Amino acid sequence: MATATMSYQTSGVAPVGLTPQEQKDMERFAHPSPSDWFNLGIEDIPEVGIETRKALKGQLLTIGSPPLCVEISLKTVEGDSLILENWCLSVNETSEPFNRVSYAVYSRMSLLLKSIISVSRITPAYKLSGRQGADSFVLCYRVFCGEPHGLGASTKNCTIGQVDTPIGLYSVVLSYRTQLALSPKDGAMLVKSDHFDQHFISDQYSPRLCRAAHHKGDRGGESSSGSEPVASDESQDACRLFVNSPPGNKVAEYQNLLQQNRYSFDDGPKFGAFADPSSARRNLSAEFVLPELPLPTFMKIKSLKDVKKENEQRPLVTGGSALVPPKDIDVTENANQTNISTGPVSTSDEFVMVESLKTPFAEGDSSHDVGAFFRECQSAPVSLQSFNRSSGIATHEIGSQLEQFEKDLEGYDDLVQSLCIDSDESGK
Amino acid sequence: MNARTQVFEMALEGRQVEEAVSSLFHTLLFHRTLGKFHYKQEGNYCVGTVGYEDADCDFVDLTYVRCSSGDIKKIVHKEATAFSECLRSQERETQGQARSGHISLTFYQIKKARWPFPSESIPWEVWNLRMEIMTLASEIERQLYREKVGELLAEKILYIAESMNRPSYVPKMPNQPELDLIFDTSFADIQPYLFKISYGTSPPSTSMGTTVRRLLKDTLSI
Repeated sequence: MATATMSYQTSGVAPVGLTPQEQKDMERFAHPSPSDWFNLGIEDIPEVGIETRKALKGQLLTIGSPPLCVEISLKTVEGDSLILENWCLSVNETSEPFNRVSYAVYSRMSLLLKSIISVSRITPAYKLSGRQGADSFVLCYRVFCGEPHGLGASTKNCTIGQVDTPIGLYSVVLSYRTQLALSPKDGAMLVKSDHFDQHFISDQYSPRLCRAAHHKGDRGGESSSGSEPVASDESQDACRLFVNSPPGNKVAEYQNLLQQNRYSFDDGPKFGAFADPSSARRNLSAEFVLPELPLPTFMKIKSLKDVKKENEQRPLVTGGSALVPPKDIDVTENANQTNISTGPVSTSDEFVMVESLKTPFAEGDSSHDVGAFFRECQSAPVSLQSFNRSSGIATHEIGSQLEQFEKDLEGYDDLVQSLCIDSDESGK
Repeated sequence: MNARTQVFEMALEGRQVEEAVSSLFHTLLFHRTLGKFHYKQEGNYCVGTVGYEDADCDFVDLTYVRCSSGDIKKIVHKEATAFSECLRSQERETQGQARSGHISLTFYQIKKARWPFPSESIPWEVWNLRMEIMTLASEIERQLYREKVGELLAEKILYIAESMNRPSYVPKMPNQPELDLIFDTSFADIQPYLFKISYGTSPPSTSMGTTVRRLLKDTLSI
């Protein structure tokens, strides 16, 4: 907007042939302050004014001359650049030539400036401006006279407005990129359009937070657009534009924090809680190799002495399911070896606990550990009263019940048939 | 003379209504506001400067520009909030069914009539916003819709800018005695064209032409 202001100033619309009323109207515009042009409180940026005058080279924009363009581009730290939008001010033949300047022309210029200001906030470049930083990317601008560079296929072009003046029809056209993807150079990998991730510390770099940090004073009354001074290297190259840039170097601080918390595999193996680092260091490679065996094979039988002792204590039960006496077990009595394969103790056995296998937090006595619990569960408990009493009475009762059921068999069949008939009738 | 009418329709969440209305109405008022006229002797006057500021939305991914006038901010905020509350209370009453409403910003001028007839307000530009409330299930959907509504409003703002710059009728600059017939001079720091904001939960009243058309259709269908 500052560029447009400077351009209108350099155009020098001469008030020739004005009526007395129009002269009075123009008098109040004769010596305005720089921020009051077109009755808008625009904070002018001297750097931009200098760049604009340099681009115009002391000439006025006339019909047929190349348009005055402002190009907003993005530059990454890797050196890639991407043109985001182009604002072009051009002059064409006026459709209704007239000889004098009226207040209508001035008010239409003011209206056009308001439209430029409103539209400048909705482009993708504005949203990116709040996330720029020295370690990620920066936005740059360039003012020049000539045809703007193309923005590719995914571009939106819109004519913001036109103002008919005695010296020509001024038009402002905006073109902005809708897909923010960097084009590859020399076969480099394409960066997908969400390269500049909106979720990456987006809240930290929202324009609102940055603006609040910069403008801590009272913002009532006539306020400005909030743009920051520009660093210009006084060259034809694009100038860096820090608009609503974050205070300080928060990007660097955040990345430093990531570095501190980052772990490297070169640091060595990490030991878990309650682990003995000294034992782990003896044979690290063997310890970390997990055998591809099912879990039951890890559980091994106790020593032969303990098994025989338990079998002597457990009485044989008659009339019920008889336990199969334990088979011969091959046990290699090696205190150091922990994995020994044996056969099952009973027909329903799946695994047997090994005496030397210490469960976590278990006491030293093997009678209290989980293995003893599993051994108890393998056979029926001894203390059940039903196993102590004779089963003769139970057999007699069951037999009489069976005889009764056989007598009532015909009634049960009739009942089932009646149920089937009812279900057929309800289905129809 | 018929007023120039524009209708915007959108579906959005209840909490986005106030910001959507504020963004569009402030953009319109920014375009239709001049600096305060200060009259001097012999009919001379000078025009003040209009300040502006950026406004960031919380529930929509959008930044818009508005006049930095406390009075106009209060008026728009009050009407937008009331409209939003009206829609959301309708949402509670209908228990999740479709809720819709409309809010209008009308620019008008006052035409004095001969005695004994009263003066009348003649609208010359009407901007209608029709909004439908929707309910989103998950936070992911809300985040996506936040950006989608931001893009939608950005398109509307661009359309407003293009529309404002097309040659169209705007009341002529009045003399000092007739200033109150065109501009709202009640503000201390700015001078917008006379405007009013109205809203409702039923569809806006249609013009005479559409009413007659509907009557004819109903008659012929019988």
